[in-house]
This record gives sequence, structure tokens and C-alpha cells, in this order.
Amino acid sequence: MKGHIAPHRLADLAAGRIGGRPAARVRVHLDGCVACRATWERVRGARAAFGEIGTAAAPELRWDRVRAQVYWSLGTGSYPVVVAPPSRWPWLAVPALAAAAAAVLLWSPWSSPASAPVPVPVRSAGPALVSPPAPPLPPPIAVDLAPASIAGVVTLIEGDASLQRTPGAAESVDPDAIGGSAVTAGARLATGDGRVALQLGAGSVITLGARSALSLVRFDEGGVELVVDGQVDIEVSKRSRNQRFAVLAGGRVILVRGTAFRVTHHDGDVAVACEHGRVAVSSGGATVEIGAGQGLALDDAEPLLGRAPHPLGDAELASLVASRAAALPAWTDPATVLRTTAPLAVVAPRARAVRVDGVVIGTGPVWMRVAPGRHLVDAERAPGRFSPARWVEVDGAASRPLVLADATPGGSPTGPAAGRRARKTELEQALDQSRLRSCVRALEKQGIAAGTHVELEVGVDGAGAIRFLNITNTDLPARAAGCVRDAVAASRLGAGAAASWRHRIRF
Amino acid sequence: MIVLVGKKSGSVETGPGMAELDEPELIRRCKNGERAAHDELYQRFRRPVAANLFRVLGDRNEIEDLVQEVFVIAFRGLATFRHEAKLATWLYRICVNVALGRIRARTRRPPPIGVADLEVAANSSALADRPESPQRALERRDDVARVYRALDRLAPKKRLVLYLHEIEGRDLKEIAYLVDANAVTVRTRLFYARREFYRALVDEGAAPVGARVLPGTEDDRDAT
Repeated sequence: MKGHIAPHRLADLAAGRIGGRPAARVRVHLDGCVACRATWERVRGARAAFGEIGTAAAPELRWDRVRAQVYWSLGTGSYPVVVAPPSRWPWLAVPALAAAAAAVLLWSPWSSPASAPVPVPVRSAGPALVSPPAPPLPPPIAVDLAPASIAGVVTLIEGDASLQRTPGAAESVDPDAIGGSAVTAGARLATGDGRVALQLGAGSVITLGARSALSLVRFDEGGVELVVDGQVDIEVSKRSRNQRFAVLAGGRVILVRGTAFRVTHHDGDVAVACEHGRVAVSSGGATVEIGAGQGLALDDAEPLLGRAPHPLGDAELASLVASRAAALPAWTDPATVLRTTAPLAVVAPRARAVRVDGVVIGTGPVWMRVAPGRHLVDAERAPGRFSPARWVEVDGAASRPLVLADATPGGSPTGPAAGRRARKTELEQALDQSRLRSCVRALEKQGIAAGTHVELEVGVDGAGAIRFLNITNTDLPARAAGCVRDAVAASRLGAGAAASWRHRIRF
Repeated sequence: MIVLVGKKSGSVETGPGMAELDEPELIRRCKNGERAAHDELYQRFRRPVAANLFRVLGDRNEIEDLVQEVFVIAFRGLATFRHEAKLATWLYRICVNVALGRIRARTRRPPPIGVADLEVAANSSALADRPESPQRALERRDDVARVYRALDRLAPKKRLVLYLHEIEGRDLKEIAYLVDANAVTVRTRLFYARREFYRALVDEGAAPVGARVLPGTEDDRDAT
């Protein structure tokens, strides 16, 4: 028989994971192959060692020292140490012991008679310890140490975006729904071609770049923790004194000291660029401080130790400034901001700049919060040339999109929200569910298919043909995700609006 | 889940009644900041934590520091503990993450495996009562050392997944929780980890050079 048996298959045999005819074939081969028999012995030895390793006892450590170090670390950190009410006995014991010592001295036969004072009846220490108990201490005042939650408001949506307000909740792609109420901890923002701005406070804005996702893991006065996949530009002006502001990008943690900076995270590769202020990148116990005008790029699993930041070029600095969305000038609190500002939606061709009151806000289509009143809006007709501006009256109600240029079939893939919603519903109805189910059948047999998903970026033209179909996010194996993509591609849609959106299929 | 072992020396006085507290009550008191409750939690779990770190890493260098790190993270994170898993499981998850960080940190300078440490691993309670020849004891030590050397050649994430599956015998869902990854990801990672591990194990000695694979025995269809 030709060839040898792979070692891990021998391990399967040793563990009894293969049986029947394959096992018999392997055994026949082992009988006639010296090299594979040697491998077999080694694998068996390793598996025997597994048992020993798995039951190895704990090494004896200096437990008291470890315990002391734990409390020392907690005491020097930001951990809220609650001091228990002191016991009354140690306080009573001190005068009692002093009294006992004095008694011993007074009655000692070696005491000098001259210096001996007049004998005074002194109570022994015993009764002092148990005599009249002190009145019970009042119960400690309960103090709520839980930090107050904070909230942000979406102030700008450029292109496609989605918001999942809580884990497991339905995703919302309608800009009015995304920006209509405050965003709190647990929310997940995602973008297609465009960006989203989330304002946290006066001058504090998080701008999520194109094809990126941001999860608000923690969002309270005690700390802000954001998990980013893609690009995020952050400007933090002022926050609570003890608030920890951290961005988690793969295995790296970027701690904010009060600054404007950018974090880019793609498949474990992380890049941090700081425009002003200071951030600290931590990973694997090492920390690198990045100052104003500096950046740091790390590959996946590349050790941080020994790395130093590099200076940013003028173009990079200009890009940092340009990528950040402007903050709303008057910020009080999310509820007030939502009440005193109004949405303005502008439908303009993709990649064409949109100006509001003479200031370029972004590229179309744009949804943003503005102060109620009249605003001058115009869009780029050709590179550098703007169409005649139009006055728009914005009131407190939900906005009706201002169409500055029609999205022609085949031109802009993104249509108005209504068309997008209709297309999404149409696709959901057209999907072959049994075919989709067959893609994950192998995983279902193992009981690990539940909860998996595939997120696709779908573009459909006016005739109903799918113009592009990209997998943007999935936790399925590549083959299963490809099968799902093929199933979606086989769907037939009718004529309607041209639209693009992110479509999530859950199992 | 962390397996509780018998309490030995170095005990800490944790206050009257603390030892009898059930887990939810102990956690509640810890969340209230009671030092005695923290002591009791430390007392209950210090040995399991140390044992797990020791088994994962294979040497006792810096185990004290790592145990300290685990408890600091645990005490700081107790406020956010939501009872989704048992306390022991949650602590084990912290152990896994701390061990992962340690493995990553020492990738640059892998320390040698001390003979004394291997003796500790080899003299496990499971085999303590079995009389054996010095040669057999030596072989066992060699086997354990070989396993850790092969583990050292794996990427940190693969190493942990392989350890949890092959040595601890955990299923994919448990591992997924412990390493905070999807079960499918764990399955893929495990497939490659097993292949690399056993190959590394064999390559140390007389490996069949240019080994070809018997049809149907190298099941690459497992890789997804």
C-alpha cells in the first residue's frame, strides 16, 4: 500500500473517533508500515500524556502573598473599594489591654515601694472586654455605585447605514428610525458606502467610516467601550473625570486620554492615528503611547512590545480632519437635542458632494440633524460644479426627502428608503428557503447552525437584476457562506426601484 | 468549569459563615464590596485557577503573577457578572484569556520547560498509586515534555483550542464560550490545530519524510 497515514488520523484512531472499515484499513496499513507504526507509538504516548497533564495538581504557591498583591492591585486601580463597618472589639481591646498592663505593673513585687502609688482597685482585663456593649451602629447608608448610562444621537447618515439597538433586535435601515431616538449601550451601527456620525456630548463625535461596524459594549459615566471593525474617527472633548474611554480593535485596546484620533481594524490588522491629544494602545501587557501627529500600524498578532509610533504626513492629518463629521453646535442632552433639532434628508447621486448652508456635509444621499428653519441645500452636479441651491423649510416633523437629482436606473444603486424597503421585502419572499437550509445542513447536524448569519450587500437595478452581491459579514464557513450567496443570486426580482442595502440572513 | 480540589495549607480566615455561603449569595456580597466575601471567593478558587493556568502553560514560571491577574480581573468584573454561566466557568474563561495573553507574550522568548515542572505534571494524582519502573517514569516525563514542545509550536489561539478539546475533552460549544468565538470558528481552528500539533509531535522524532496520505485517511473535508 502506498503512502502514509496522517498523524492526526492516527490520533482519531487512538481516540476511537474512527471505526469500521476506515479503522480496519488503517490497522492493516500499520501492520505493514514501520514508519507509521513509529508514528502510532508516538501519538499513543502523547495521548497518554494528555491524561497526566489534564489531572496535574495545582502548584503550591505563596497564597498569602498572591492575595495581598490582588488587594494591592485593586486598591491602586479604579476599583471602588467599599470599606466594611469597623468592628467595635478592636477598639475596646486597646484600652482594656492598657488597663491590664497597668494593673500588672501596679501589683508587681519588683515595683519600687517609693514609686509605688497608692493602691487603687483596678478592674481586671476580663470584665473590660465583655462589659457594657456599645450601642449598635446604625446600618450603613446604601450607596448606588452603578454609573449612570449615557446616550448618543445619530446626527449624520451618509449613504447606507443600519442600526441594531440591542443585541438580537431587528436591524433598522431607515434613516429616520436610526436618527429618531437616542442610541444606548448594546447598540450596533454598521455602514455600507458612506458614514455615520454619533454625537455623545458637546464636541464629542464618533464617525464610523465606510463598510464598518461599531458596537457600543459599554456606554455609561464609568466607561465607554467600543468594538470596531473597520474605520472609526473619534473626537472626545470632555468627559467625566474617571470615565474610561476605550476602543477595542481585535486584540488591541486603545485608551483615550482626551483627543481626536482614528482607529482602523481589518481582520486583526490595527492602525491608530492621532490628530491631537494622546491615546495609548495596549495589547498583551505592553502599552505604547501615541501623541499628536503620530500613528501606529500593527499586523494581526504582531507583538506591540518594542514598537514605536511614526509621524503622520500632511495628507494623513488632512484626511483625519476631513473624515470627522462636525458636531452639532448646541448640545445639552440627547432628549433635548432630539426635540430641538429636525431631520433633513437629501437624495443626491452617490459620490456627489452635498452642501447645506454653503458647507459640504458629505456625499449623497445624506440624512442629518439640523436646526429647524430655512436651509440652503445644493448638490454637486459635476466635479467641482454645484447645481443651483434650493431653500428648504425644515420643521420638527419627520422629513420628506429633498430630491436634488434623480437616481437613474443603473446610475445610483441606492434609491429612497421606501424603494429599498420594498426591494428587501421582495428579496425575502423570493429566497428559496429550502436551498438556504441545505447550505447549513452539515452544521445543523452538529447542532451549531443556530444563531449563525450571513450579511450580504445587495445591489438591484430598476429591471430587477442583481448588479452586485458581496458577503460583508458572516460567521459561517466560506463554503456555506458561498452557498448562501449563490442561493440569493438565484432569486428572481421584478422591475422596481434601483436600490442597494445590507441583507442579513439568520439561521 | 473549574474543578474544585481539596483545600490545603495557607488558608485565609474568611469570617464566620462565609464558607457555607452558596454561590449567588457569595457573588452578591462580593458585589457589595465585602472584603470577607472576596477572601472566601479567593479561598475557594485559588487552587483551581492555579491548576488550570499550570496545565495550560506547562510551567510554573510567573504562575503567581497570573493567578493574581485572574483574581484582579475577576474582582473588577464581578459587577458585570450576569449569571449566564457558573462562577467557576466564568473564572475559567478569565484564566483562558490570561493564559492566552501569557502565551502571546512569551512567543518572542519561549522559556525552557523546567524539569521540576514536568515532574509535578507527571506525578499527578491519577497515577500516584500505580507502581512503575524508573524507565517508565522517564518515558512519561518525555511524553509530557514532547506534548508541551509541540503545543509551543502552535499559534496561541490554536494551542488553547487544542488544549481544551484534546486534553480537557470539552465540546465545541463550551470552547466557543471560553475563547469567546463562534462554534464554527472553533471547529475550523481545531481542525488545523490538530493537524499541526500531531505533525509537530511526529516531526520531533523519526517522521516519515515526504509522507503521502492514504486515500480517505487525511480527511480535509473536515476543514470548513
